[in-house]
Amino acid sequence: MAKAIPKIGSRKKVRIGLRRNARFSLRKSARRITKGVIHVQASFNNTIITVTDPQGRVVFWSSAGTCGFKSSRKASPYAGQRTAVDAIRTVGLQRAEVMVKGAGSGRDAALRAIAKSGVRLSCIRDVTPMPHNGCRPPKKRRL
Amino acid sequence: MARLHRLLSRALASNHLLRPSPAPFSARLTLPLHSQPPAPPRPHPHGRSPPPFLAAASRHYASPISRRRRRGSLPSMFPRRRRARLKGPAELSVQIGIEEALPDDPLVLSIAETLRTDVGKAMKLAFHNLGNSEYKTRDPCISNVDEYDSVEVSLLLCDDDFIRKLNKEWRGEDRATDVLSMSQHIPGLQIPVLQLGDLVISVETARRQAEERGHTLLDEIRILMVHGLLHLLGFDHELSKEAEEEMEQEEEKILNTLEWIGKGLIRSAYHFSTDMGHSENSDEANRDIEKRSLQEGHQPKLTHIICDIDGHLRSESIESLREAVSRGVTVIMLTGKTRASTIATFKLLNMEGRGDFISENSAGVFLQGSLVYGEHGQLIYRANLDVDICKEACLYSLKHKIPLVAYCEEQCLTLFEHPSVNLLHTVHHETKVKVMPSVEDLLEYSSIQKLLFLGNKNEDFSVLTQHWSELTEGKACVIKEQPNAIEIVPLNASKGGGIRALLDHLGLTEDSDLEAVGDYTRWLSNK
Repeated sequence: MAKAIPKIGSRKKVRIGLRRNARFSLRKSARRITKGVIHVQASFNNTIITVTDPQGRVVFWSSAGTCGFKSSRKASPYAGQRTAVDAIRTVGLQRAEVMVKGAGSGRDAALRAIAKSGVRLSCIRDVTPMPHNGCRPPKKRRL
Repeated sequence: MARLHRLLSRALASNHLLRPSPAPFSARLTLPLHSQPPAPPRPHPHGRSPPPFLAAASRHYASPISRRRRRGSLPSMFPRRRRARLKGPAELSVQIGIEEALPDDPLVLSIAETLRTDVGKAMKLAFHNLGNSEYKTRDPCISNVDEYDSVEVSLLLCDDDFIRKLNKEWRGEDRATDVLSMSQHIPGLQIPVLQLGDLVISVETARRQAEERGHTLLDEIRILMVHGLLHLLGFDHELSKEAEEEMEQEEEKILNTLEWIGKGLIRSAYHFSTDMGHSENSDEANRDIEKRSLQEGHQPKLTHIICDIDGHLRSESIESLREAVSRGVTVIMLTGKTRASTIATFKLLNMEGRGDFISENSAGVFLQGSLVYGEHGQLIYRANLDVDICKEACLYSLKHKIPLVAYCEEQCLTLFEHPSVNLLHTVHHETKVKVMPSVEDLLEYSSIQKLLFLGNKNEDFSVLTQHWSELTEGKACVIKEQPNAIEIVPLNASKGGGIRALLDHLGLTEDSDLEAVGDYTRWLSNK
């Protein structure tokens, strides 16, 4: 669990000069599907759960932030659990495939919540890519 | 016409319409830095002013905050063309965390604070560069960030033990490393949040590398952060020689544009590995010599060090100072800052008060030589600015809305609040700047040693410098050490003059046991 940094007058959210081109559909009006794919993105500071249909179209997404968790609480396992429950309840899934990505603390909690929710899981796949390392060329041999 | 007037007044007077609309979040408001004076009220088209309640209502609806509410609320008999609302800029959510096992260190906390904005700057620049450059080896899965409402990236500062566990679990390498980039992006997933991923940086490894490469811990963490960020954006130096060159080029571009010190991580690593080939063999011999000299109780050659901390203080200088203080060398501070600010800076480095090193009782030259403290910290020289110059500067500051800070010994005074002024306290550790109600109140502090005009980061004060140089000719000295700030100090005050006064007071000559960090000869010639 990471420590919270005391605020010294600076903002956590940094605005950058980019323009939004795409508008996404409202999250409340999610269509209900019985079979789909649950994507779990568990970072050290947030957990995002996305439910897609078998063709890969997004049906609903939820994150610890949208579930009302703020700053350091977004990283907690409980936030991951609540996010998963929120997503599954809204969509009404019965059968699903789970794709997990990331090493955050919300990862296991989200998986437990999905398993307990009564959804039949055909498979759980860890799709976390191998993390990239710093640059360390081999040292010269000492004679 | 009268009927229309009556209908409108009735509609506007109704409770529903006059209920004040809730102000939006402060993050959504973009207010100008120097607000314009309010425009004079327009004359009523019919030559007479409307009834008071109507005037109040129109005033309420003219406020920028409730503009959107007004359009929806007006009666349907006044059809209004809706203009397309500008889409707001995408938001970059930068989350900085410090791993619990990492010991509490004020320097790390300060670095974490700095990184909040630094990560944003690097991201913005990286996105801009991706749009303008053609990289053959980069994975293009993240190509258009414009389509996302927000971009999230998290950075975790940790110790070697934590990063070693991660490295073992995810890469199968049981050793500590400097940085790990863990991508979170799922290509093809159409959600409004782009979760780029996590950067994990080991502060302990970064500290070692900073010492090896001769720069500060912050510089090293910035280099690691940029390297990790580029990995998250699809660069990979391990693919091929070409991929390595492309990533190195992008690293250098970001570091140079943001004027951050140090080479990119790829270049640093290679330079270090080639240097090691020459130096490793002689390392043990050097250590033996050091040990022997310490065992023999080798007396230090130096008795005093004069240290200019303005722009010369690097991590290696700090280590040298620590070593010198531990060996009983007297360190004399030389700076354009106040004594309180200098003490606060060295408090962060855990060096304040150690062996009389930069405390209330130590000798030093402050405020560009306007204040000189001798033995036991007593004031031996003070140069004040002419009151007329101070008054002129205050009036100029108010007229042109350029923030001005007046230094009066340990106090900092100003005439109005401004973000640049606040930075003096939050970033440069000056005492909290006191806002004075009027010019007269500020001038009551008769002994002002330095005036500082501050601008925004991208402002250039060349014209202002020229103006004040002409205005104060023969009365004061204008110094421009940064493009967006100018200092006005008394004519008889300079760092060189301050050193001379202090050396005379301490009974030291220039060729005695004295060493300087920085350009010592330039100060002495600058009488």
